[in-house]
Amino acid sequence: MGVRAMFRRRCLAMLGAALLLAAGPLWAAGDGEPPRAEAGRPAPDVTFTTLDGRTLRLSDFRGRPVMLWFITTWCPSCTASARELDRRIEELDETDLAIVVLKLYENLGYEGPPLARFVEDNAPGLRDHPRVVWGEADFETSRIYDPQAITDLYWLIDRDGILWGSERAPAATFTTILDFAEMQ
Amino acid sequence: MYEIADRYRIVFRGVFHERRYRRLALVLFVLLAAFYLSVLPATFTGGYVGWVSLRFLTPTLAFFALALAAAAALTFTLAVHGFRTAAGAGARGTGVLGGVLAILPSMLCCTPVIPTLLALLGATTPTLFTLSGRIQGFFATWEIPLLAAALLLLLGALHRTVLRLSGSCARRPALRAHGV
Repeated sequence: MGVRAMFRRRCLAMLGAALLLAAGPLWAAGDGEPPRAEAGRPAPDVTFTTLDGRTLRLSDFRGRPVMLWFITTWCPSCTASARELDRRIEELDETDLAIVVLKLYENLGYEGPPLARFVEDNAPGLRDHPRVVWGEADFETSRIYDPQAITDLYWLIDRDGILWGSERAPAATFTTILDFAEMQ
Repeated sequence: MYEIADRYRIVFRGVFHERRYRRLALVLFVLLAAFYLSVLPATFTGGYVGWVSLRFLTPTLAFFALALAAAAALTFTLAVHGFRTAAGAGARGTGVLGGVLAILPSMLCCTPVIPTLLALLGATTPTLFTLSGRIQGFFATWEIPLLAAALLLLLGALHRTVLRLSGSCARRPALRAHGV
């Protein structure tokens, strides 16, 4: 075998190895990859349990813009945000926005008051508000929408079920929610 | 007790009879007060700092912001005087520790800092969902005691700086002129 032939075979072997390495992540991102929320993509459908014990799906809200908000009941930022929403909920009257508030899985590992108590203490006006649903997220729902386990994070989802983007702390970013709801 | 009060009186008079130190202390107080007044309420804004956080200022946080700013401004001004007169700065480490401790609750609770740090350290998702809350919850629960501890550290640094300056003032004509 000549030197040129050996060189060609080595090049082909290296190319093959490079292709295999590149294909690894592509294969991993295929069907086996668990869903993850990403702006601009359809919102993964998840289930959650409401305060009154019903099981709902996120797709039940299809056709309406949705604010999907993840909280923990010990977090001062969530408390402030709940109070802010309670105080300013009338500003959303002209919109169709549905607000789904979910306690993160296991309250992120720190004990806090039960969700019902949190609502009574901080947003009593939103307890039975037709626009607002309170519930608890299981591990899967929490992981899909909040893989970094950041508390007081929310997603805005448009009427077609497409994730518009995520933000933190409605107390500090209420105008973002208002703008989104009015735009829909 | 009287002796301690006397030392404070002598050092404060000795240092602040000079206009440049009065001005330095005032500028530092204003800057630090603005900093603490906007940073401390960030516990309620998910870490967002600025005008938005000022809306969430409570009387307790305002007290701590102003007290921390005053203690830090005085300590730093006295330390600058100490350097210039070769008396030494006193408890620099304690002062810096107090200043940093004061902003930990608002920067670490309910912000992405802890989850991001844990993720960088290689924490898995299940670990993130249990550990990050414990750390952030600790800072949320103990926010006021931590602020009190930070203030005590700064006051301790101020005290040690005053003692150091008063201990060496006999060698310094500027202070001797004021009764030492």
